Amino acid sequence: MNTIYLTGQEKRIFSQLSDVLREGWDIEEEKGQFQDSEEKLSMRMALLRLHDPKLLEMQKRAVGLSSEKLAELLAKTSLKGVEDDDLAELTFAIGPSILSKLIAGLLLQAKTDAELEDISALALIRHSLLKSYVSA
Amino acid sequence: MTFTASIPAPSSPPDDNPQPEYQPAEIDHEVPDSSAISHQRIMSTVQPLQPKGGKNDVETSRPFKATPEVISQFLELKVDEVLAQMQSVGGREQLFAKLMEHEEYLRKIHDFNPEELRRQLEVAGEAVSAKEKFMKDVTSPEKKTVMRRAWDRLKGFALHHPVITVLLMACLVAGGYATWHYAGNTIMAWLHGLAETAPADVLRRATEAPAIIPAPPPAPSGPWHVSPLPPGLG
Repeated sequence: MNTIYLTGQEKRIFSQLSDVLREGWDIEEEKGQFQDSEEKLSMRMALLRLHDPKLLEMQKRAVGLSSEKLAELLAKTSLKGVEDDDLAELTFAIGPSILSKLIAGLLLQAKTDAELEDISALALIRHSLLKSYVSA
Repeated sequence: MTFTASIPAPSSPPDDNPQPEYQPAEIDHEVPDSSAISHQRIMSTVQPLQPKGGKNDVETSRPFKATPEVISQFLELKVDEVLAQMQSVGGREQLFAKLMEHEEYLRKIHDFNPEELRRQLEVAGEAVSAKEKFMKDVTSPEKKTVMRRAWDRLKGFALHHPVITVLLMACLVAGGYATWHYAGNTIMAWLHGLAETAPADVLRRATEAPAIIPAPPPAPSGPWHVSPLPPGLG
């Protein structure tokens, strides 16, 4: 995974990283675009289909919790052991716009190759999401 | 661990079943202390978001939400049939026509508008089609290896990027409500707030950051609605 799909503006930030950090990475321009909205996000949430019993349990448990306890529940969970299909479901629900925010933030603080691998992973998922909307 | 930030607590599900008391999650408690601190910091920077409305809205405004589940139950079709129909113009027309056969009833119990229904079906159709393409793409044999590595990176985010894990978990929670409810602007705004909080530490480093961060979706004009169970089925 040596390719990172970045928008034009993200590419400019990438270009400001050190030569050492940029070395070995191929940058592909992300040309996909998507205008998100509350309604679209809400509909994607409604299409969420999870299979992992742990996630389903957490979903049930979250209903009706107070703000504080919901925060606590969210913060205590990790994605370890979650099936790839469920991760795909979650990332589809989140959508490309929110992923773009995350990518931008991570890119700005990238200091290691491992962080660029994280960005590359998110950008690859975003790329696939944007492609899926092109001819939807 | 105590969080000082307010996170929107969505309303109860349609059946209003009493919810069990909160118990510590049995699922992966593997976030180390340092990450927990990050969580606390992150959560404390999220602006409290108050629902615009609440239970009273159920009495005054009950918009019909054309999710696959709602239509499935209303028309007594399998969800998969609804999803398949939503993907084509003709299929959406059929769903619209079938729902319109119940227009009088829908108007009686919902804030129902045929044009709004038609528009919702378009939004649903776009999302259903996109999702099918996305799932097919990321599970295709050609992409299996590269996607596996991407998912593995994501699974490790609890250590390095806890807010992203929290964001995905928040999405999971929101999904639990959105099946039947308008998840509303509260949790949606919160998701965006979290996404903005993630890079908060570094935004000060680059002046160009605001330019690359997409603008948040337009603020919803209506109140925070809660949709009841599909009519005629409860």
